[in-house]
Amino acid sequence: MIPSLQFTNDKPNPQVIVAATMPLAVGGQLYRIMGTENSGGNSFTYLCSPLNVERPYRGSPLEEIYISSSALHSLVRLDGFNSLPQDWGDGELERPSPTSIKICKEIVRQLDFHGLSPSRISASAEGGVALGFYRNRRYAGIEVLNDESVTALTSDFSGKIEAWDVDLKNLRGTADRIREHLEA
Amino acid sequence: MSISKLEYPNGYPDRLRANGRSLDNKFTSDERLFLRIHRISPNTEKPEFSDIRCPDLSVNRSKYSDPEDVLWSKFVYLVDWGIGSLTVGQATFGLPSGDGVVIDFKVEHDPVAASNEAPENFSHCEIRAYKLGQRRPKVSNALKSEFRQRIAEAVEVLQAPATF
Repeated sequence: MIPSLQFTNDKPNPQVIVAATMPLAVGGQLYRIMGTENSGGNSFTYLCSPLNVERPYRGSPLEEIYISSSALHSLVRLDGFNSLPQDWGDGELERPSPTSIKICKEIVRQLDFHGLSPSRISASAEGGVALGFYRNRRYAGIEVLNDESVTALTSDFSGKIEAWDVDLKNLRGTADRIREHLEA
Repeated sequence: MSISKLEYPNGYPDRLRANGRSLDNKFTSDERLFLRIHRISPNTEKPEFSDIRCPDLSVNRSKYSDPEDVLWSKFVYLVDWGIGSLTVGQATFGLPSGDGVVIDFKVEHDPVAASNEAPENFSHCEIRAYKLGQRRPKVSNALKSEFRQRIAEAVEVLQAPATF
């Protein structure tokens, strides 16, 4: 059984409280958390993967992933949508597909690399999953639908809304556009 | 197939039955529309675009219903859902599509007849998309997202859902 993670406040300095070496399921694979570190106000969690290898950890992880604790929180939440019941919501909503969740998790990882963490993660009413970003009373969102299409939008809540199709091969462009909007 | 009265749950409002009334596509821009909302954002306490459907967004009109009537779904009353409201004027607008042609969104009365799928709902309307006068069951994803965000921002939350 996978122990659940306990998170303290997400803002302004998220911290993951887990015992070192506690196994954790991320992306369907078991990882072992090696420790946490505070750097420049950001909390990083070190993971090594996978656990189901015969060779136990001996100092250098086989594969080391650097990810902020808020992104880790996001990945765990996205994983949770895999267990939504078929008739979730009012029974008329389509459940997020495993592929849409997988794509969204990759987006979370890449946006984390570019310094963006979602403030809201939700299952979409159109079938799929969505990320919401708020800063300075401005909003940006990314939605991955079950047909694997990805759309992003920005709004300043004064009627100016811009939406565009996201090219997964150029997530940097979307990340830059969102960051520029949120920080304007 | 018609539904017998016995199959309606207790409390189903009689005002939602047609009772011989005809289709009514006369709207004033200040008539209110009600929609049920599953989630709202803790940041704005409003829905986000991903909480809204498009096109053919289902709403009830205030001329023939009360706000809480929108929580009736498939013979079940959704006690943990919230209720949102916007005006016909807020739901009627045009957005340019990729080829420059404007997609018009407008409210249309769409009474639901009693069936095995849903109880009778005379107040039911849909916000539908039209391009050059032709109804569009689908629009581009970017345009769809913009429509949904416009609706989300226009919604006044009358009753918050139980969960965020």
